[in-house]
Amino acid sequence: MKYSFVKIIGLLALILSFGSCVKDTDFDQFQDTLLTPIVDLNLVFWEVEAIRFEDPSGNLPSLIVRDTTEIRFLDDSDTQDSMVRADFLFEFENATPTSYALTMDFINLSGNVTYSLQTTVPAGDPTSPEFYDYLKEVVAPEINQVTQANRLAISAEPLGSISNQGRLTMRSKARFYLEISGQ
Amino acid sequence: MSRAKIIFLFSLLFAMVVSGQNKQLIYGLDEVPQNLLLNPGGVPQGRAYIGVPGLSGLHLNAGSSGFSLYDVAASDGQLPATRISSLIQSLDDKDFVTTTVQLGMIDVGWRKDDETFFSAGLYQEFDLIAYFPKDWATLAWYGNANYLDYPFKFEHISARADVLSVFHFGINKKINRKWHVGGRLKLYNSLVSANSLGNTGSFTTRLANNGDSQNIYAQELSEAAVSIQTSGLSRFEGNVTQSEVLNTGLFGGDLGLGIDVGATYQYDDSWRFSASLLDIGVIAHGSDVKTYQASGDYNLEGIQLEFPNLSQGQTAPQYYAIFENELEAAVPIDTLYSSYTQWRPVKLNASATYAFGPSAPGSVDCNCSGKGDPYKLESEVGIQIYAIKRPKAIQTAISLFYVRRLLRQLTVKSTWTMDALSYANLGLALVGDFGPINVYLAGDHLLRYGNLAKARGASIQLGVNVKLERR
Repeated sequence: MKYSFVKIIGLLALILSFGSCVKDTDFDQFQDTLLTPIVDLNLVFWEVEAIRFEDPSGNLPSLIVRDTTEIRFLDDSDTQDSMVRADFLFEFENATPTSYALTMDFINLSGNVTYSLQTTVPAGDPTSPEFYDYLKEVVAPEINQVTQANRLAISAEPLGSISNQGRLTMRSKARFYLEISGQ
Repeated sequence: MSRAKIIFLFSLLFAMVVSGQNKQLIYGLDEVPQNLLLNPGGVPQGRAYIGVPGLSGLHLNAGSSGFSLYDVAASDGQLPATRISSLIQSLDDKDFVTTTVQLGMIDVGWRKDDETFFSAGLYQEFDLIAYFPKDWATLAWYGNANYLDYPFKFEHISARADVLSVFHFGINKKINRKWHVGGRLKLYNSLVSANSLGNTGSFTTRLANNGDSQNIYAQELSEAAVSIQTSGLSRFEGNVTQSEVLNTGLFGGDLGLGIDVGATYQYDDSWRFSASLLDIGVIAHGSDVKTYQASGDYNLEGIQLEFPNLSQGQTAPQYYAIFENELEAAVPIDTLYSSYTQWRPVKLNASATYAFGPSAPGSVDCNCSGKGDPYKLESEVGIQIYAIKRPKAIQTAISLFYVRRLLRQLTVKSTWTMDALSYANLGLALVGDFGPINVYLAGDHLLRYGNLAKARGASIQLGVNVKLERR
């Protein structure tokens, strides 16, 4: 009798421990692309009065204004590995009667421009501003130039005569397409 | 380790673990001495027992309420991304994974007299529950671009893990022929504890409107309050000796007190009712405590350029550093060292049992006088309920069971359990007595043992005791 019971217990133990198994699964498949998030982030924004483009000394017809900020996460190794595309949207509101050449430079740690965007913002009017959007989709291989940079420099150059009335404003965002793999 | 691997391992963890501490196969089985740990008011048998150290009661339990390993990693030709997307859509923040490991180190019981039975011992327990962080999994998987105006809620982050030793002493008292009542005093010794509970606030991206942002989006961290409480983590850092681990495992952790109570009512020779409440207790975490918390509001507008007029030698503003400082000031991350208390997860067991058939093998033929102890019948059917207080809700399970005493030495209990993991969880327990040696083995989710990948849970219990019969 005891022998029978031992057999039953043993059989159940075998079923529970060795009889069970994990089948029909494949974990190697996760070596491929896993996550593909699309992330929207505000970028930079600014507002410059038209008078700012006047040269106080009067020696020059106009000034080019320029400013720079770090974007520290851009050249992060994880970002470099995973970013496959970036859409940059720059929205301008020009309430001056002057058009402007806008340059957006991506600059690396050594101070070299790795990627550059240029556009021209049409002239507007203080009472009737010109709204202008500039969208640039950056994919491979250019995206690698963007992710070599950790700074963004914006410069605005008046095209033609300048006015001391109105202002030029810009808002911007970036849409980053990421592919994060299991490797 | 890459982020993807971490996320994958996290997903795997979710797939591996299950529904908590339900021991429906052992509850109510008088033949198993450890039944007293589930109901101190049970009906103890024999004169005394002693569990084999380290083998008196081993309980492994793991499961997930929303998916199986197969759902995550099936080799069905479907793209893994498609499968995981589908899972993220179907799960919600009430879905959870949980795992419990209990190991009986010392377990003894002895009868003082016909009415009184004492039991005592020490067991170690690891218990984890983690809710599916639906919103943050969605954000990580899809990003925020297609989720404008959607608040990603921090309350979806909810998890708790404990490693502790429990010293216990219980008294079981037979009041009369019908009633057994009992209580157990527990001294908790928490080795390691960590939790992130009660988080609030949200993160929302929406198009700027009514001046709430100067940039294109208003990316708002709203009323965020997120914390992680830990105790005992640094006890095991560096070169930890075996004796230090042993000392901590005995009395070196954070202490707490708790009680179990229970009762059994034998209505007649056929009907029996029982109930117990376990782990009504609290642990005071006072040593090696660290609480990391972040709270505040912040509108992430981006970086505002000022195009300053710079003279020779002047440097441009450090916009990014200013932005980081503003963020840190608005949402400071603090580390606190103040003590905290934490309730143990209270558990409820209850059952109604109907016994029938001839008397059990080895039992007297009848209870003819109607005055002695209720005698054992060969078969029992009944219903059990189980509930455990978890951070987000009370989790419940209901089981139908059938007990058959096949031989003098052998008792078999089978259960059909419905809970958050499954509506068709079949379990089987075998209990045998070979002279003084008592052995039990139980497992559930048996229908899935052919391929555990398709199981949402798995549980196994086993134990070996030496029992001394009553003189």
